[in-house]
Amino acid sequence: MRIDRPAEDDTLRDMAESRAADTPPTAEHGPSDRMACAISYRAAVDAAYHRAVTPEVTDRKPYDAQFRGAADAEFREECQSRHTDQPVAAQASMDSETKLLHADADPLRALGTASETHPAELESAMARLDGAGVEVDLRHGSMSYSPSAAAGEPGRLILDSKASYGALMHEMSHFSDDEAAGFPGLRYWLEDPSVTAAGESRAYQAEIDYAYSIGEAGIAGQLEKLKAQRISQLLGENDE
Amino acid sequence: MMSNLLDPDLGFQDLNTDELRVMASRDSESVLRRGRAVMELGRRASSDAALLQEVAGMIRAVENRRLMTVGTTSISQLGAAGLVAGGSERALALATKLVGEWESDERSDFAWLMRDSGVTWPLKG
Repeated sequence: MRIDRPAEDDTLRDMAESRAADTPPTAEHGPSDRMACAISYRAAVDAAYHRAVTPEVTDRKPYDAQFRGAADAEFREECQSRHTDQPVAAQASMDSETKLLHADADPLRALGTASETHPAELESAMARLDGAGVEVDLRHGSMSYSPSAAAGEPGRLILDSKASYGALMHEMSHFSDDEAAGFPGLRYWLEDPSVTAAGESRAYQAEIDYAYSIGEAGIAGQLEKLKAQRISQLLGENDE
Repeated sequence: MMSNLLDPDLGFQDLNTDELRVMASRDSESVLRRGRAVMELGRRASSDAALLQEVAGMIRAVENRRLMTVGTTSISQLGAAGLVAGGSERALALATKLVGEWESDERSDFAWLMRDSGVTWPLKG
């Protein structure tokens, strides 16, 4: 996996769209490996929040170091907001309310972040992304998978470290679609609204199914509305 | 057929400019088609000074900056990509200016788009 922006990175990836919440992860790690990863991961998170450690900057840092840097940045940001008594600037003004990235609509986040609720699945997703050569960047307040501008190349995942497991499933669904299509490039996904809308539908449905599976019918309903809104935006009213 | 983002848009290149204008501005249009329309207009603006200013307005429009087509790619980013694809000196200068007006994440996303397209961004010189 390429990490091109050292100040804001983290990785993560995958989850079969239809996987139920309690389905075992698909990565090749054995249980002991996964446990070791989870322990390492949690230790990195804890360390980041309790010690303001400056992350080392290299092109390809180990995952725990990547997350430590990101978590540290968020920790400092939250401290600053307390110091100034101002709300944390989630992103520049356009992001949180107007950019239609997935983190703007992550109602499952109320139940915890993916790193809190599904650390093993998160680790598995990262392994899958890494294997595919997907670039992963951490960005507060944003969550999206973008196909590459170049046909044949894997895309990039923007990850919010506070995103829910459902949001992770959603973006991994987009990655899966891109991968299954042979990484055809952004142009491909722009050309046929019905194809892209079908992918969006699958991605939302993965989240919705998960919400229902844990008894969160209300959140599922919210996601249904978001799904309809986005599908309408993709298809328009004049789709040919 | 798989193609790269900056390649000619075979599906839109035969549309006339007025058709593209209508498509680009129609709220009820697919956001994907709106993005492609703005990109094609950006490409054509390389040889049309008046259209260049018109496209600049589209790229600056807050609505087009916030409307995502796929992933982090907004309509405005596609418009700027169209200017780059057109390739004239004036179009490239305008793209540089417009992207420079964006917020850091938008600039970063556009730079990634250009890098994957084989373009070093920001442009040198």
